[in-house]
Amino acid sequence: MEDIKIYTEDSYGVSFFKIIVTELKNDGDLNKSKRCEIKRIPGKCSSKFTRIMKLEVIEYEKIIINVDADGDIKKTYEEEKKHIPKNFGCKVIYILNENEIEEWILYAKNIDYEGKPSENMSKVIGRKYEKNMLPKIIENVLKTHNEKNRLKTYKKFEELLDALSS
Amino acid sequence: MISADDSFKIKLTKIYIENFKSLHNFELNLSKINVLVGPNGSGKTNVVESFIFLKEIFNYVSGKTVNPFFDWWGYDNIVWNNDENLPIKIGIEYEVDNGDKKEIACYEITVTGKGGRFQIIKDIFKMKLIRLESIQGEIYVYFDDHVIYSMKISTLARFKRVKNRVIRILPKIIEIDENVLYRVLEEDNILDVSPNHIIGLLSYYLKNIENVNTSIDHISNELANEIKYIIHKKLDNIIPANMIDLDEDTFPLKMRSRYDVEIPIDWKSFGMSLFSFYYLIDKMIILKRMNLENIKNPSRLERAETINLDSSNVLSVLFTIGKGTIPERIQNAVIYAFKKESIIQLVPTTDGRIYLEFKESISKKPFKPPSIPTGLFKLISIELSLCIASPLIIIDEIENSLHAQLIAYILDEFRNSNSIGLFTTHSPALIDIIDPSEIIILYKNIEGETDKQRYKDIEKIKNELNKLGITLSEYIYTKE
Repeated sequence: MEDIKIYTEDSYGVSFFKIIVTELKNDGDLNKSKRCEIKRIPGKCSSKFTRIMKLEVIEYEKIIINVDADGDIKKTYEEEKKHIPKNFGCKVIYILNENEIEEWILYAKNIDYEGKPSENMSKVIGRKYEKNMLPKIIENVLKTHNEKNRLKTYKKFEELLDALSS
Repeated sequence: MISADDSFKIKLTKIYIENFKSLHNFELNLSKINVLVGPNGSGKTNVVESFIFLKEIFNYVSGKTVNPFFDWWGYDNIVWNNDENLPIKIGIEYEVDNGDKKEIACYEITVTGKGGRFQIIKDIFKMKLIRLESIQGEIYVYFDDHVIYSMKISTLARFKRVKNRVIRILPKIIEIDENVLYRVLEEDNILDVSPNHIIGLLSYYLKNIENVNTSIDHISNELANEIKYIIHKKLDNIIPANMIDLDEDTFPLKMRSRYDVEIPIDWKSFGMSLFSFYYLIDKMIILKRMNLENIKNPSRLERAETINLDSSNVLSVLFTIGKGTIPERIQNAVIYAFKKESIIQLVPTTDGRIYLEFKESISKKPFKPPSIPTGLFKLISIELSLCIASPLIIIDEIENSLHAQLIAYILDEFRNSNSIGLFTTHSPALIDIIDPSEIIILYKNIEGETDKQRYKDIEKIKNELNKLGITLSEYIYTKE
């Protein structure tokens, strides 16, 4: 069985993906016995991440990196790639949010928006949005049949599912 | 309760300190996250204590304390080189954003405690074009560097003493409406527009209306209008120009308004900036003397909107802010720290106190305070500070009692809030997850003064770290 580690941009992303992975397992989209750990990247552009990667290769077969591209996928990909040691012994998959992780929610809720996704989140919750609300919001999306189905058609979600199950 | 629009933001941008402990001549520009590192005795805690001292000064002007240096056992213990002849100066610069525009304002206070007697020597509030200043008993208002209002506090004191005589005599001299005059004289306190006096009055006023809902906009406008009134109208109306130089025995007033034209000040911004200083100091939270074991004890059920310096009232603040329930932000943090089903709640005791209870899940037996992990109380205190929307949160040795993952969570919380964080640390785990631009390295120079170093070329440092394959903490501690 292939063990997977997901690295996310921040602590909110950790909770976000924990909830999604649990749901995928409950739905049978992902094997329940599959080991999938989720951690926050220890600082952007930090050499610590590079060193940790050397340790991860011992334990995991696949690393998934999810970070915000803030509108520049190519640049973000190049930056993140720098932290992966040469001849790295396990597969690394980059799932880069076009802007921010909140775009997953806005897609699921079918909300048109301009600007940064996080700045549009008040439309979703009807009050001031704070990042710490993200886990609760994704939990509610997954509880709502239509929204969950729509989320599953989001290309980043498909990339995640593909990375987790392939 | 004061409500602020979401658009209202205060950002402390700079602090400068003279003669406070090892901070002989120290200046610090602040960003969103500021992490002070350095060996023991380098002055990290002195920076934190300079903010405590500033807060204590304002507790003094608000009548909440009689001696701001009491906690240090005397002025000689906080002044540079233990030289009581030296004054201590603390100044801050901050930016106020009310949604429409941003203003830079600055406040500076110079104090002494020579001979054990605390005294404000000078204080200045300054923003573009206008400056309020009090210097050893004289008050000045400057517009574009010209004095437009001045008075002696001693005159004001004498004025108060002979107020009844003035009320009796003055209307006869200048044929003024007695009621108008009476109103002005009744409000004579506000004629003292020295910044520290205004802060004291604001504190008194806000304490008396704490059960009334009001907005920052409203208070700022009232404040600006009052000062505008004093400068523009009050003195001109009461004291005709030709009366100003009358003999003091006959007419014990020596106040003047030298501008008789409309002064082109943006009064709205002025009021907002002045009030923002009060708000900044009042809401500033300093978690330094935290006794986490004490916080576990049941707390009196009382209204408290901000956390004390010793953090003893965390549960009361939690109760006040959450109106009896746990704020969502704090509950979310607890879930992150423990597990999804984790719950904390405030429980009343039969004798009218409250304590915190922690359950790992609904079905499980709750942990009573002595069994609750200490780190949970620290997490709650920090998250509560963010709930209060404190513009500045200062935490000494932030890493104590916290797991590295929780430190990272707290950093993320600060990055996504309107609060500025100023932390001291010895923890490599913290240093390694922040940007080099957020690090301030403190050290003592050859004269024993605290000095600082900030990395200038951040990209160069990052490239160097990546090239060497070492972490930021390794880099700092090796070069120390």
